[in-house]
Order: sequence, then C-alpha cells, then structure tokens
Amino acid sequence: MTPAEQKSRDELLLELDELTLRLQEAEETLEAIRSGGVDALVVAADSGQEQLYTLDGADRVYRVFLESISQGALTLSGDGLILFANEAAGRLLSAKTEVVVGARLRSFVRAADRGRFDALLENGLVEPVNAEVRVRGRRGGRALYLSLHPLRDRGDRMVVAVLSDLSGQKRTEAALEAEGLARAVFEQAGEAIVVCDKDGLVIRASRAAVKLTGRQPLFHSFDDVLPLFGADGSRVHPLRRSSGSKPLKGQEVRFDREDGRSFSLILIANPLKTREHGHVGQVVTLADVTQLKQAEEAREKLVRDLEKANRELETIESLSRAGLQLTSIDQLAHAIVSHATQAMSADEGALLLTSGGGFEVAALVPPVEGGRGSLDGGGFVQTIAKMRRTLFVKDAQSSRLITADERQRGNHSLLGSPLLLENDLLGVLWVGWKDLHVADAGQQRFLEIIAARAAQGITARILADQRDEQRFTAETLALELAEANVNLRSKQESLELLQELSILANSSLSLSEISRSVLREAHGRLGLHAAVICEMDDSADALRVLARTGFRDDDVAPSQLAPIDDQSLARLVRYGLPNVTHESESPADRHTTSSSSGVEEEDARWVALPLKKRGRMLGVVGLTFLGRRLFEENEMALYRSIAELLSTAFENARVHREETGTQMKEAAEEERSRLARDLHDSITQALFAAALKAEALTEDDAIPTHAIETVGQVRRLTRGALAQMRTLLLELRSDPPEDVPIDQLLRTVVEATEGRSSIAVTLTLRGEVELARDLHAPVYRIAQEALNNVVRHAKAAHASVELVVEPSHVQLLVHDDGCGFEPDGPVPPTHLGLRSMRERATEAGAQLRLVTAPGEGTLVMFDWRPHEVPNA
Amino acid sequence: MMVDEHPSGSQGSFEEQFEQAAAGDERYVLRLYVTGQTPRSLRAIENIKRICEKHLAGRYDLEVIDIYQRPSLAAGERIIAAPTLVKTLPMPIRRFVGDLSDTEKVLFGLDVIPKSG
Repeated sequence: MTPAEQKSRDELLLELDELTLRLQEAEETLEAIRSGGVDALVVAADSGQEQLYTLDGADRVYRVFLESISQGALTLSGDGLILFANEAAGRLLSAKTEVVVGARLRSFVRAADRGRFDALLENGLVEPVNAEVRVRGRRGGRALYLSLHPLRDRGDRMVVAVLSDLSGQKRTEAALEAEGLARAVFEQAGEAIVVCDKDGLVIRASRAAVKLTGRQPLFHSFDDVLPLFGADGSRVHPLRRSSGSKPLKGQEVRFDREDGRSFSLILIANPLKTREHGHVGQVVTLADVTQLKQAEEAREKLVRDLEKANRELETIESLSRAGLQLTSIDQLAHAIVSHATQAMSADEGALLLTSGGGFEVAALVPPVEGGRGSLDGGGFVQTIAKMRRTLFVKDAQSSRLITADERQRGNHSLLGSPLLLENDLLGVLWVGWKDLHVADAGQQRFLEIIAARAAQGITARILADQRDEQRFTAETLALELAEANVNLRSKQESLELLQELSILANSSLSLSEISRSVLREAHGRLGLHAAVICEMDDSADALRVLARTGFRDDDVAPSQLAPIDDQSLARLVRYGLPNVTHESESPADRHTTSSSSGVEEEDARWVALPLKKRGRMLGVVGLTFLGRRLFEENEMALYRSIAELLSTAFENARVHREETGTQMKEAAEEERSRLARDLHDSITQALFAAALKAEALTEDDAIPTHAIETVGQVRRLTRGALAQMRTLLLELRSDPPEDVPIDQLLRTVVEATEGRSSIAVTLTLRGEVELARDLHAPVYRIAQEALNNVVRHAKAAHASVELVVEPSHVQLLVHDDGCGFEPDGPVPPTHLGLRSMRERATEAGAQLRLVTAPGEGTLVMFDWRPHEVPNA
Repeated sequence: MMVDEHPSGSQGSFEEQFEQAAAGDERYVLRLYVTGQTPRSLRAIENIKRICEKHLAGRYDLEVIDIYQRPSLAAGERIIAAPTLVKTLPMPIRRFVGDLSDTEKVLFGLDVIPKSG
C-alpha cells in the first residue's frame, strides 16, 4: 500500500460521513422540491445569469384552458413534428397524447390527404392556412378542420395547429338540412299527413291535414280528429292496425266531416322508427280522391252509356243491312222485331202494319203457334196510332190504356213506337217485358229510331217491289217498242214504196208503161229476183206480159202471151186467189214457172197475185224472190197493196178505154177511197198503237236507256209515217187536187218529205191571187216529183218549195242544196220523174226549167205565163 | 425528410421484449418527461426524436409525457426536473436530465452504439 493509498481508514470513514450528509441534504432538497415545498428554483440560465423559475405561475390558467377546450391544439416543428398536443388533440387523432407528441402529424392524416397536408404545412409555416383533412381512425376516421398558424419562437420555425372536429358539425348540418327539407315536403304535400306518437296523439299535421279535418288536430287523438270508415261501413283504425311493424297501404276509406261533407280517401299508415329509440309513432297519409272517385263513377257511367248506344247502333246497322238484303216485307218485319226485342232484353215484341181500318201483325217474336192473325190493335197500339208518338206503360196490368187481350199476353211493361213516314202511319212497333221494367229516355229513343228505320225500310221494300214490277213492265214495253220500231220501219218503207208506185201508177194511162215503171221501181226496192205483170186478155183467154224483169228474153218476152195452162196460174185466174209457192212442191212447178229463168239452179219462192176489180180479173203480177222461206204477213200486205194499185190503174185504163164519163170516174174514185180507208185502217192502227205506247211512257228512270231512245225514235217515225200516210191518203182520196187548196196540197208534200227523210224543207207561198184550179194538179204533182228526186238522189240537207202566184205569172221553185247532177248528160234511168214533170208542165201550158250542176244543188222551176206557147 | 411511421403506442409482451433484448437487437422503450412547451422541452423532444430516428430506427417506442398534463405520472417516476428522459428498456433504467442536446452523452448513457451517417 502506498501512502496515498494509506489514507487512513479514519479519513475515509470521515469522508463517507460527509458524503452521506451531503447526500442526505441533496435528497432532502430534492424531496423538498418534489413535495412542493419550494416555490421556485434558482437556476443558472444560458446567459450565465441566475434565472428564477417559479413552479406555479400565471400560465396555469392557459394550460387549463387548453386542456378543457374541445378543439385539438398542437405545436408543430418546421418538419411537422408534434412538439405539444392537448388532450383534445389526442382524442381527435384517436391516440394517447404520449404518442401523439413526438410523432409527426402527417402520420395521422389519411393517405389520400397527405399530399394536401404537406402543402398545407408548407404554407402554414409562412401564413395562416386552414383546410379540411381526414385523419385515420375507427370507422374510416373523421374529417377534421385543420387550422395552421406560423409561430416564430426565438428563431425556430414552428406552427400552431388547431384541429376541429367537423363530423359532428357535419352531421348536425345534415340533420338540420334534412329536417328543413322534410318540413318543406310535409307542408307542401297535397295529401294530408299526420304524425302520431305511440299513444295515438297527433304530434305533427300538414297543412292539408288541417284543412281536411277542418280543425287544429295537434295533440288530439287521431281517432277523434279523423274518424274513418271502410267500404262496408265499418270503422277503420289505422293506428291500431299498423302498430305492428307492417305498414297499411292503400285502403280506401270514407271520412265524414263534422260539417256534413264526405270525403273519399286513400289511407297509408307507416310506423315511425328512429335508430336510437325504435318505434316512436305512426305516419298516416290520407289522399283525397273524392273528386277522382266522382269522376271515375261518371266516366264509368259514360262508358256504360256509350256501350249501350254502340250496341243500339249496331242493332240499327244490322237492321238496315238486313232491310237491304231481305227480299220480302215479312222477313224485314221479322228482323226488325227480333233485333228490337233482343237489344232491349224484352220478352216479346211485335210489328203491326196498317191494313184496312185496323192493323195486321207483320211479325211477332216469339212466334205464336198457328200463325199471326190480325189484331185490331188493342188499347195500347190504338193509343200510339192516335197520338203518333212513343208510349211507355210501366204497369200494363193496371193501366187503363191496356185492353183485356193485351193484358192477357202477360207483359208487365210495354214500350211502343209508331212507324211514321211523313205523317202517314204505316204501323206500330212494340216490345214488352214480363217483369216490371223501366224504360228510360235512352231506350225510348232507341225504339223510336228503330221504328223510324222500320218505316223507311218497309216503304223502301214496298217501293222496290213496285219498282220491280215497273221495271218489268218498262222492259217489256221497251221490247215491244223495239219490235214496233222495226215494224214501223218496214211499214214506212212499204209506205214509201207504195207512194212511189202510186205516183207511177197515176203518171200514165198506158198499162204497159205503168207496168214497166212500177216493176222497175219495185225491182230494186223489193229485192226481187224476177217479176212479171200480165194483162188478162179475155178474148185470148191468156195473159199478156206487159212487163217483166229478171227474166231472160226468150223465157218471157214482152207482149208474149202465156197460155193459162199452168195449174197454179189457172187456180189463180179461176179463183182469183193469190198463189204462193215458197218452195217448189215439184220440179215441174219450178220448171214451169221459171223455166230457163236461171232460177232452177237455186231455191226460190214466188207469189202471184191477181189484179182484179169488181170481180173481174184484169191481170196478174208475179214476184219471185231468192231463198226459201215463208212470206211474212207484212210482206204479203205490201204485195197485196201493190196489186191493188195496179188493179186500180188497170181498171182506170180499161174504163178509160171503154167508157168515159162521171159514172166511171165516180167508180174509180170509190175504189180509191176504199183503198185509202183500208190502208189507213191497217197502217194507222199500227202507227197509232205505237204512238200511244210511246206517249204513255212517263219519263221514269226505271226504264232502261235503250228503251228511252226507242221511244224517241218511235215518236219520230210515227210523225213521219203519219205524214206519209196523209200524203198517201191524199193520193187516194176522193177529192181531186182541184178541190183542195194549194197550200194544203203543198204542205202535205212538204211534211211527207220531212217525215221520210232528214231533209229540212221550207214552204213559202207568195202572191195576191189564188191559184187557178186547173193548175193545182200540175203544181202539186211537180212539187211532189221534184221533192221525191231530192229525197232519193240529192243527198241534200235543206230544200225549199216556193210558190208565187201573181196575175201575170205563176212560178213554182223547188230547190235543194244537194249534190246536183249533169244536166246535159244522159238522163239516168231512174229519173223517170223528169219526163213526167215535163209532160205535166207542157200539158198545163207552162215551162219547166232545170238548173243544176254537180255539187251545186238543183233547182226545178215551173213557170206559167198566160197565153204563152209552150215549148215542145 | 419526413419518415412515414405509425405510432403504435404499444410495447408488445414482456416475453417479446426479453427475446428482443436477448437477441441483441433490443427494443428501446423511452419516456421523455417535458413541461408543456417550454423551450427545453421542445428542444428535448426534437433531439430525442432525431437520435431515435437516426440510431434506433424501427426499434424504439417513445412516449412524451407532459407533466403538466399528467402530473401523477411524473410523481410515480420521481421526476423532479424537466425535461428528463427515462430509459425503461433495455435494463438498467437510466435517467437523463436536460434538453438532450449532447447526442454523444445521450448515446453513451443509453448504451447505444451510434450509427454513423
């Protein structure tokens, strides 16, 4: 041991004691300080100066304040290190303050917001900033409002941060907003909305609810304020029904308000629950559908009415269609009654039509055994007929109107309507119900319509039936007319021919000349194959051929005497009967009558007629036609007429040859008159019959159009034919031309011309003096012949006849605007008339001049001057 | 430089701590007692945070206790001055009074091998 080391044990012990004391002192000091026995400490400060630190100071209040506020207060270093955090900060950051301090604030921010936070912090070091940040924590953390203020503390950059919890605020705000919205909706809702608590007291009521109840419902019992009834009349308690968790939806209820008004409401009740307290009450909504319901009911009624009207229309439609299709009134009546009965759901129905003084049942539904019979109509029907309007009897059994018969039918209610057509009562339609039935205005109207349609339909049916008859008549008439037309035409042609032949027959006294001219004319007109006119030569007992046509010379030569050795001829001669052969009975006959005529190669028919007067055979006219058939009646009549003409002419000639004198003349005239009468009778009858028919037809559109045309034609032809008739009559009448006034004569000719052609002829008569009697005949005949030529050859549209009678001269001018002819050329063989005209003129001591050229018309001029020497 | 860390505030079970200590990579549990926002307190917080982040990264739990806010805790640890750093783990318990600005001293006292850099 060294001397240093050899510190005395005593010295060490002493040091130890000292140390212990010092330590004790130190510990006591510390204890004193710790136990709060001191107020302050004296500490050497940085600056070297003694600094006094008090333990209990004025900033205590601020510390308490900091710890008591709800916001989080933090002090951050420039790096964002939390240097201080109050209790609230720890709460907001969901951590103990011990770990909050010393951590970085950034680490508490949710990842998505960290970028923003960094920027925020950077700004916050410079100037105050604030923003919302979301921090991490339970349930997704929370939104915090972060406020940063820069703090300069002795050169260090620091930031004071204040954290405010927004979420609560936000929730409150949201709640407030929701509440506001709910209230607005509540108030604006059209429906009455009532909120009740668990006890059924009204705690909230919308404006509409107040209006509905008519009083202030708050804090009254719901059942008191709004007594509700179901469709069956029973009470409805919405609160009781839905106090379970099931909501009450859409029940229709009735609310009778105190003032008497009734409302139809749709009730919806829902329980009201909150998260914290569970079931707290009810929300009841009542929608006022009163008007809607009324509208709905009205609409339904309208639809029902429309459907009914539709059915009725359909019934009427089908009736109308049926009316068109059904062919008889019975069927139509039955259809009408069936439809009406069915449509009105009646048990019985009938349609009665007026008949005689009463009614006849046209149809009865359901049909009755044993036919329908007739009713006198009974009281009900009679009343309807009398009043002429629809009648409804609700209780037929006790009504005075109803007769016993009608009562017996067993109908309880009756509805009937008259069938009227312009004030005429056609009948009555009625339907009956076995049970009591009330026919409303609509049904009555319906039956009226059916009755009206029935009236129309039945009338139309009757008319249609009539019209069918009429149409039938008209068609028959049309056919008859057509036939008459054809007949008329042929008659007209016959008349024309006769007229021509008559003229020819009177133009000469030479039989052969007459015969020749007649045959020539007749040949073409009749379509003769061959013809012959023979004169009876008594002395030779033979027939002398006066004229022939169609025969070869060596067969029948003029003037040839043919012995009457032929059987048929003999018969004809002996008995004076016309001989007709329409087919050769034997080759011998044919051969005989038409030997070498060339006819034997073909079939022919011929007729031979005797010419006789007063029982005397004067001659024979024989006509041959090609073709085998029967001669028709009108053909025979024509040939007979021709034979008559010839007979007369022959007789005249004979008489002239044999006798002269008035007696003979009278006889001839007598004949002519008889002929005239015969002709007149036969032809005129036909004409007048046709004319009558034509006139009898009314302008009815039931007549087919072709028939109407025929009517017109008939009328035209009739007129023309009548005119021709008159001419013919004139020809054959007793009065000689001298006795007939010249204007009448000329008028006859003109009318006849117009009647048988389409030429318009004017007649002009001038002169102071009457025409001399002996000039009547030539003037008349020449005018006649000239107009004849015009009709046949001129193809003219207009012609004129002018007669000038002066004391110094008489002039007849006949002009036409036709085709004219070559005056100096050879006279066509048919213009025989010219020669006869000249002859007559010469005979009368007058001149005949002809002015014509092709295409220039023709003028025939008859010029008479007194004492003039006629040209040869 | 901001370091993203999640302050756990928990220390795990005693066994875990023992194991960690035995492993040589011990977890440090440190408590810093400060007096609100007095300058030395603030400095101490900053300093210890820096030291921890540099030399004890990932293996420390730091609690900063404001003895104004938690006076009872200060009494329990018999703290008489602030700031005072208490190392509770690893053993032995050591105390440092002051603003911890002397990093070497702190490291030495904490038995922490300083990390260079």
